Amino acid sequence: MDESNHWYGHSRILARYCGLDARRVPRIQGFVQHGWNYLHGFPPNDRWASPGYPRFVWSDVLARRGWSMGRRGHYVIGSPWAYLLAMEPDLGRLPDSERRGTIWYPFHGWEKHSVRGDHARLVEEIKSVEPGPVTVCLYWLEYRNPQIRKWYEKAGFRVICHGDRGSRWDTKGVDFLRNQMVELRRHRRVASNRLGSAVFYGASVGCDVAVYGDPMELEGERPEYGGTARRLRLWPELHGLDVDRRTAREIARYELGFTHVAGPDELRNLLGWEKIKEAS
Amino acid sequence: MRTTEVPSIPASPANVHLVGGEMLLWSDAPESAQDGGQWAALRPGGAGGAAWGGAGHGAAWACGEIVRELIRRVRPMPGRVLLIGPHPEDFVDWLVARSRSVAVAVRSYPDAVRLGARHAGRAGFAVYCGQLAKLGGLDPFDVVLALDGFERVHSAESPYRPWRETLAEVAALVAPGGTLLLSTRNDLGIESLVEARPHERTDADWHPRGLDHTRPNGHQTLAAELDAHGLLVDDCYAAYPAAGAPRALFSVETLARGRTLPDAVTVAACARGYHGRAVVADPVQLTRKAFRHGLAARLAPAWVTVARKQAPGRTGGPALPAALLEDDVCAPPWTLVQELARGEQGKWVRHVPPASRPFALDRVHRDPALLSGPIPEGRVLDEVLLTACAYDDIRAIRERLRHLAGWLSRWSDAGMVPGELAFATTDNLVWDGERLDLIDPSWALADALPTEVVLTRTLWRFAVRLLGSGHHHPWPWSVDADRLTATLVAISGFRHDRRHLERAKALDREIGTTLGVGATAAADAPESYRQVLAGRERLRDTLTAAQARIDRLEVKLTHRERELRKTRSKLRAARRRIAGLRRRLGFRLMRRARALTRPLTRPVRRRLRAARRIARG
Repeated sequence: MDESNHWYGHSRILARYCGLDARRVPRIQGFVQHGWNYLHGFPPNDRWASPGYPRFVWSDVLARRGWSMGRRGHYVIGSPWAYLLAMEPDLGRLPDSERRGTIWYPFHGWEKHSVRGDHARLVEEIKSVEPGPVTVCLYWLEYRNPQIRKWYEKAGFRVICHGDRGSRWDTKGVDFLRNQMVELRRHRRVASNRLGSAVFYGASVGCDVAVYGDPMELEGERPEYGGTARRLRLWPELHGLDVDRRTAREIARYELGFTHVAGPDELRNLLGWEKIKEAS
Repeated sequence: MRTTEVPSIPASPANVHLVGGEMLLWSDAPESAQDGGQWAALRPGGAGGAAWGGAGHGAAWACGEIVRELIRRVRPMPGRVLLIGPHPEDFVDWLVARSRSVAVAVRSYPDAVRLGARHAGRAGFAVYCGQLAKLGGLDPFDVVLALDGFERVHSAESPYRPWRETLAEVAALVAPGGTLLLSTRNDLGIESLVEARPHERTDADWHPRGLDHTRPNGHQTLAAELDAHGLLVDDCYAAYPAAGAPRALFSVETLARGRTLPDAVTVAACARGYHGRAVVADPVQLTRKAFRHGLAARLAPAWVTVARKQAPGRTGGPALPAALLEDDVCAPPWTLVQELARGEQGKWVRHVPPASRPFALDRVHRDPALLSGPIPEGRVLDEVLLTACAYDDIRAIRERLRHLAGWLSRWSDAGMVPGELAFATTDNLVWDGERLDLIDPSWALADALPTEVVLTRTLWRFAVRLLGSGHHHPWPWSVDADRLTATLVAISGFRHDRRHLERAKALDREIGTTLGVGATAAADAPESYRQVLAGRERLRDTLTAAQARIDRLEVKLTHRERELRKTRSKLRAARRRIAGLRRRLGFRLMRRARALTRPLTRPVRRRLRAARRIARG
C-alpha cells in the first residue's frame, strides 16, 4: 500500500512473525505506523493513507486522537518492535553486569526535513552527564554527513548507525531493528534529547532512560504536535537525567502496544496475507 | 523555509493553566464561536484533509434562563465556582459577574485560549485545560457545575473513564457543604427513543456512546450514586424537551406524587419540530404520552440534580421550585422563566420573578404580570386538531375551527380584532370542551388587526406544523401548506383570500423577527421508512460496483508485482551472466584488441559518419 510499511524492516518482521518468507515480503493491505509519535501515529499530512484501508497503530491513545481528528479505521496491533521481541527474546542479550555505557540518539531529521541544533553544545552536555563510554547512534542521513559525525567522533564517542531505512525492493534496512536491539542490549542506558521510538525501545529491553539536552528543531515542524512543552506535560516523568526505570518500562510497554500484539493467524488476516503460502 | 507556511498554535493567556493532555486541535464550542482564519487551517479538513468536527462539536449545552434561575435559587452567592466541561460563553460571563472566583475545566486548547482571552485580567478567573484526572491538586470548590454532563470532560489522551469514575473525580472537587449541579443524559430518554440514527459516531465519539453500564438508569440510581460519593440530593429535575437545551424542569418528586400537570404546561415540555433530525416517532406525541402515563420522570431526556456535599453541622437545603418553565417561542431579552406551584383548591398556578418588567420592541409588547395566576385547563388546540386529523374526523375539525373563528369574531370590532389575539395560535390555546383560553396571555401587538389575517396566520401555522410532522390527515398527500390553509379557512366559515395569506405570512415574519426566532418555515416531512430503504438499496449497488472495481485492481496489481519480481530476478541473472562473461579470457583479450585498434580505425569511422550525414541531407 505504502512504502513506509517496509521501512526499518517492519514488514519483514511482521512477515516472519506470520511464518512467511521475509525475503519476499508481500504488500500490506493497510498502513502500518512506522515510528512513535504523539499525534495519531501518522504525519499531519496523511492524505496518502486512503480511507477504506486500516491504519495499524501501536497503541490505543493514537486511535482515540486519530478519531478526534477525523481519522477512521484504526486497528491497534502494537509496534513491529513488540513482534520482534516476541520472536527474539534473547537476541544480543547480555548479563546485566556486562552491559556498559550509554547509547545516545540525537534527534534526527529525515529526507525532507533536516534538524536545526547545535551538535557541539550537545556533545559537551553528553560529556558532562554520561559517566561511562558513550555510543552515539546517528540516523543514516546524518551518519553520511562527515561534519556531523566528526563532532561526536572528536569527543571520543563511538559513532554508529543502525542502517538505511530501506524499502520493499532492496535489502537495505532489513536488519535495522535487529541491529538496534543488539546495540540497546549491550548498553546500560539509553538517552536522547527528545522522546522517541529509540528511548521506548531501550526502556523495553531494560535500559535506564534519560531525556535531556537541546531537543533541537525540525525544519517546518508542524505545530499540531504541540512541541516540546506538550511532550513535557504529557510525560513529565520521562524527562530528566535519571528516570525511574519501572515507570519508563511501563510507559514504553503502553506506547509500544505490548498488550495489543496479535497472533500470527490473526495478523495474517489483518494484513491481507491469508492467501500467501507459508515459508517452508 | 517551510516554517513560515505553517500557521502556529497561539500561545495561551496567563490565566490558562495547561495541566497535561489538552486537545490542541479540538473545539467543543459551536462553529460560530470557533476561531476561523489561520489556525483553522491546522484542523484536518481545514487543509483539505479529513472532515473536521461533525455533530460532536458545537452542540453546547444551552444554559438558558431556566438554568440560571435554578442556580440563583440554589446559591444566591456562589463563592468559588468550578465549571466542568464546555458551556456557552455568555453563561460563563454571567457566572463570572456574580461569583467571587470562577475556574473552568475544559479539554480543548482552543476553547481554553478563547475563554482565557475573553476574561484576561479578571481577578479570580482561571481556565484549567487538559485531563480531568489532573485537577486533583486543586482546592475543592463551593459550587461545581457539570451542566454539560460527563460526555465531554475527558480528552482523547485519557483512557476510557466510566461515568462512575468520573463522578468520583468530580465529587472530590466539591468542598464539604458545597453544591454540585449535574446534568445526566438519560440513555432511555425520549430523545434517544425517537432518534433514528442512535449509532452515528462523530469525531467526538472516540469511545462509543450508550454502552457504559455504570451510568445511572434512573433518577433513583443517580441519587444513590451521588450518595455513595458523599453527595446528598436536594432535588432532581426531569429536563425537557432536549438534554442539551432544557426549557422545562419538573421536580421528579412532584411528578411522582401523581399530580397531573395541565396540558398547557406539558406542551412546553415538548420539542417543537425536528430540527433536521431523522426521527422514528413524533417526539411531541411521545412526550405527551410520557406525562399522561406517569413516566415523565423516567423518560426525561436528562436529569438535572442539585446535590450537597455532606458536612458536619449542616442540615437543610435551599427551598427549590416544583417546576420551572422557559418560553420557547422567543429569544432573549423576551425570555421569561415561570415557576409552577400548587395553588388553592389544588389548582396549578404560575409565577414570574418579581423583577420581570413589561417589555416592548417594535410593535410587540409583553406584560409578564399577565402570566401570573392559575393555569388554564383543557387540551391544547393543536393536539385536538391533530387528533381529529388522525381520525379523518372532518366534522370535529369543522366544529373546532368554526368555534375558533367565532371566538375571534366575538372580539372583532368593525372587522378588526385587538393586537393580543395575534398570538392566539393553535399551540397557544386550550380547549376545555366549551371554551378557548390563551395559554400565554402576556403577548400583544400594538395595533388591531383584520380578523381574517389573524385567523389565516393561525391556520397557516397549523398547516405547516401538520405537514412538517408527517402526521396523517384527511387531505391529499400532495397538498402544500398554502393550499391546506385555503381549505382550513374555508372550513372555518371564512372566505379565503390570497392577500390575507400574504399579509398573514408578513405578520408571522414580523413577529418572528421581533421575537428573535425567525419566521415559521415550511418543512418537509421527515424521510419515510420506504425512502430510507430505497436509499440503502442505491448505496448497496454503488458499493458492490466499487468493491468489484477494487477487487479487479487488486488482481491486476498483484499480477504486475509478480511480473516485476520475475523481471527483477531475470535482470539479476543477466547481470550475473554478463559479469561472468567479462571475467573470461577471450572477452578480456577482445576488449584489449579493440582498445588497441581504435586509434587506427578512427579516420575511417569519421569518414563513414560524414558520408551518412551527407546521405541524410
